[in-house]
Amino acid sequence: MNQKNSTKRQGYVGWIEASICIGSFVHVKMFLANPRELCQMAGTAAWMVPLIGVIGAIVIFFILNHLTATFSRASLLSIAGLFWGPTIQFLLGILFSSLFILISGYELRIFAEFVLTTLLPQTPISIVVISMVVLNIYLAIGGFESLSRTIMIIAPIGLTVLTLALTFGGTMGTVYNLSPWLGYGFWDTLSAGLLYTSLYEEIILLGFIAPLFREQKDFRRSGLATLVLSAVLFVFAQVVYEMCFQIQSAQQMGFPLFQVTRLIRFETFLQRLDPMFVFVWASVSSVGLAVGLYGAALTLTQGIRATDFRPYLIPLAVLSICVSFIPPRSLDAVNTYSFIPWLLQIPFYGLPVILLLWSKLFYRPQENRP
Amino acid sequence: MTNNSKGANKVKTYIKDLLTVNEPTIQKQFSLSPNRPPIRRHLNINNYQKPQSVTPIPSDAQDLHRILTRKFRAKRNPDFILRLLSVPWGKVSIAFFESITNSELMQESVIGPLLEYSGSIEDVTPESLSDALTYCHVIETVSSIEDVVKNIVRGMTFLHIDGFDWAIVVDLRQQQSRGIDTPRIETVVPGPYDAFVEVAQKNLSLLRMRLAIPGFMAESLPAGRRNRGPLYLLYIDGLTNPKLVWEMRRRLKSIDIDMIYNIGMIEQYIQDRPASLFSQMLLTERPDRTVAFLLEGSVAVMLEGSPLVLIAPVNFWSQLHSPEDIYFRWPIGTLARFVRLIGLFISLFLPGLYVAMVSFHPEMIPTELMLSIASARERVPFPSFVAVFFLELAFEFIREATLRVPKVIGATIGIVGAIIIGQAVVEAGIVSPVMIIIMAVTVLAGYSMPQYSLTFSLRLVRLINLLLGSTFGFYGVLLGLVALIRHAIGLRSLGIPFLTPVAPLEKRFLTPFFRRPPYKEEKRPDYTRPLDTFRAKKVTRPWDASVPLELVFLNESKK
Repeated sequence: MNQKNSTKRQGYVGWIEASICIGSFVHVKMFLANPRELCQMAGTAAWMVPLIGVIGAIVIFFILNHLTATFSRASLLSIAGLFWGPTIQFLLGILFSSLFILISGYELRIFAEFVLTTLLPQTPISIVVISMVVLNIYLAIGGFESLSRTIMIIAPIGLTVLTLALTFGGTMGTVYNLSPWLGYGFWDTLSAGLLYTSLYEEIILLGFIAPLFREQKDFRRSGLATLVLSAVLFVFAQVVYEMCFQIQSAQQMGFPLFQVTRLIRFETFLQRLDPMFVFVWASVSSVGLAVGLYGAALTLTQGIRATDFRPYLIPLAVLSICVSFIPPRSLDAVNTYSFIPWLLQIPFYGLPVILLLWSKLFYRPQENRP
Repeated sequence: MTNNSKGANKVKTYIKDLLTVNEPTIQKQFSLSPNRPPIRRHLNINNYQKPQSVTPIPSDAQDLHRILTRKFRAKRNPDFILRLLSVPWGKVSIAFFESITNSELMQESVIGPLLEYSGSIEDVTPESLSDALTYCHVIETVSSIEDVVKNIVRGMTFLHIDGFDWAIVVDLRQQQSRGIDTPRIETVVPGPYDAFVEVAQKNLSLLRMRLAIPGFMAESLPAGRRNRGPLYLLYIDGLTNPKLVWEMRRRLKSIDIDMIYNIGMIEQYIQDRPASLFSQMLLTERPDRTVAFLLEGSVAVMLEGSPLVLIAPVNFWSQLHSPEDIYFRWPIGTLARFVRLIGLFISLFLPGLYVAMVSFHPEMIPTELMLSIASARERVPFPSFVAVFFLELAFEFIREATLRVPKVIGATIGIVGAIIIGQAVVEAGIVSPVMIIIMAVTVLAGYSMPQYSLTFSLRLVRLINLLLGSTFGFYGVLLGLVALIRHAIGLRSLGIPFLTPVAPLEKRFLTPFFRRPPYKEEKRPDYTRPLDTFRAKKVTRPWDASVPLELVFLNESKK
């Protein structure tokens, strides 16, 4: 690729930082209604769904890895531009930017509803949405460096609190709630798992930030670490959730992990810890949402081949606010968001697959052409 | 080209301009860090001032006296002494400021030797005159009036022999200064009890007393247009990364102002983000701390007239460390660091969290405690935010008053403050007793920070968190917390990330929190990128039976 301009880059990102950063984006949905949806899809075997899904995601990631290795870690949109020209690159940039805004907008709305339900019942939702978007802009305007470093401070606390919450919550549950072990049956569980490969679709962001990695092995480590970490946390959370509630209740519960933390009682110094857990989760979610906003701005920038993503952050943030207010009610937002990821995995996973096929079937580097 | 294609091109260009912010580029062109500004290496900071005119020294003493009398307004300025001394071999003009010159030293080391000089006037050269003045170690030959004036205002003594167009200046300065005293703001229990004073030479002597290496550099730089200065740029040649020295020198030289009153001013001129609430450099009055930072690869700045030294680059965690951490054994040092970390968190968030808890999430508190707090607040008509704000103001007033009033009545202020805050406001029903406890713990936690300026930064951030917590509850505190982390992430100290080694994550990232035993710290910190990485041998306890013999032999073989 264009090696002459590589000197213009000002830095690289480490694989641990990138993993945790993308992982936070993947995990936003876990704090929302995702565990309940998994229970609705796969019954008591819902905890297996992320495990099956991660296998599909790993396959897609290896395709992405192969593609970026072939093109010296150029961004997916740059590769698309190389194959199909700037017009397609432009259109793909607009498309992916819109998709990231769609995800961010819906997650923002559900997050705001979550905050209203758990912390601020008297506050107008617009206040929560706008304040969170302003914070997201502030986080994203520093670029991936700022996002990754911020999450590196928050993540240790977030992971500790999450682990503690799930462990304490798990002690209240019973393991028999996980039976029957295969839920609605082997094939139903398997098909749900494959459908929920979409749990990890945010991994595609790695394809857009690929130029930030110093070496290909960092890229590979980062992707695999993100997927493994996400899968472990998804499974852990799902197991605890199912142990704490019988499946009929688990399929109806609003904000599942919050309900798990409500079971925890210390009564020595603090009698209820759920607001504290919400506090920490919301911190992680705020960075995750900012990563979504950054992804939208970045893909738009790469699509139109601009040099700086920052001028697009505020317009895109306004758009995400607009998207967050599309669903008239909280329930509509949750219902719509439950199937949006299924659809989004088509472009998200489809693009690297098509690009790899195209590179193998039709593309010849300039020097090899007759 | 046809009109249609011209029109199409115009539309295309318009759309392109509308959608792009710069020349479109291809492939890998987006920046990892857009907020990292490029270094402006092309700026030549040495060429700011206009070239000065050069007036040669007149050989006739009368002409010279006329010029100096006019320059220094000698008739209206009795401090300026201009004297014509007749010696057996000629006439010598002496000019100096009486207030900053040691008269006894002048008599012994200048006037005495001049009178005893046995050569003839024809043989006098700058070298022979220097040889005659054996007691003077700093002697400089000058040949222009501008140099003469510059040296006299710096406190040097000027000597001119009638009939020559050159002169010499000698250093007979007498610096009025207090003696070396104990530290005032960075006190420690175990450790050295000396601190910097206002005279740079004394401060340098305190450092050289500890650093017995030829590479310890004290570069002299100008300190303002009307300041006697100088500024000293301190570093260890061969250890400190030259890029850091270059960058600090560049920033110091760029300061082109009348006067630098104190080292705190320099900090504001040269720090990376002057608008931030946090200081990105470290001010210390301790020579041992300065030496420790120099040996870690940082650079330091010393100013004549300032009892503090400015150190950069430093990370945020070093502002939470005290020299005591090293002087105590490592478990105690580690505990102290943890206590300060907890203190930092309490100082930043406790009032905000308390207000958020009692106003928005009372269900968190155990029922008995909640009832107790509620009954205590029953008589208080104000919301929690107002009460906390009132106490913050009261503590500020007490602090300011204690600083300003004469020391003899300082204790009285403390007693009055304690009575007002501790008793009267509770009895009057303005604040609840629980609130007093919360604020007392918060203020004490704030003052546990070893870096004095950090206490002020924490107070400002605490007020912002308080406002957010009282408006949005925990959600508001969360907004404040994440924004604060983001802000700190963006800070740099002389180009080095301020939260290193935690963010960006580097090796030995637990060092800021756990003080390792000194015999295991064989490497210097990475963030300063020192030229000499190791500060100790791999094995410093070879006599210890627990050290593997292989390691000892390996270490010996490297000799």
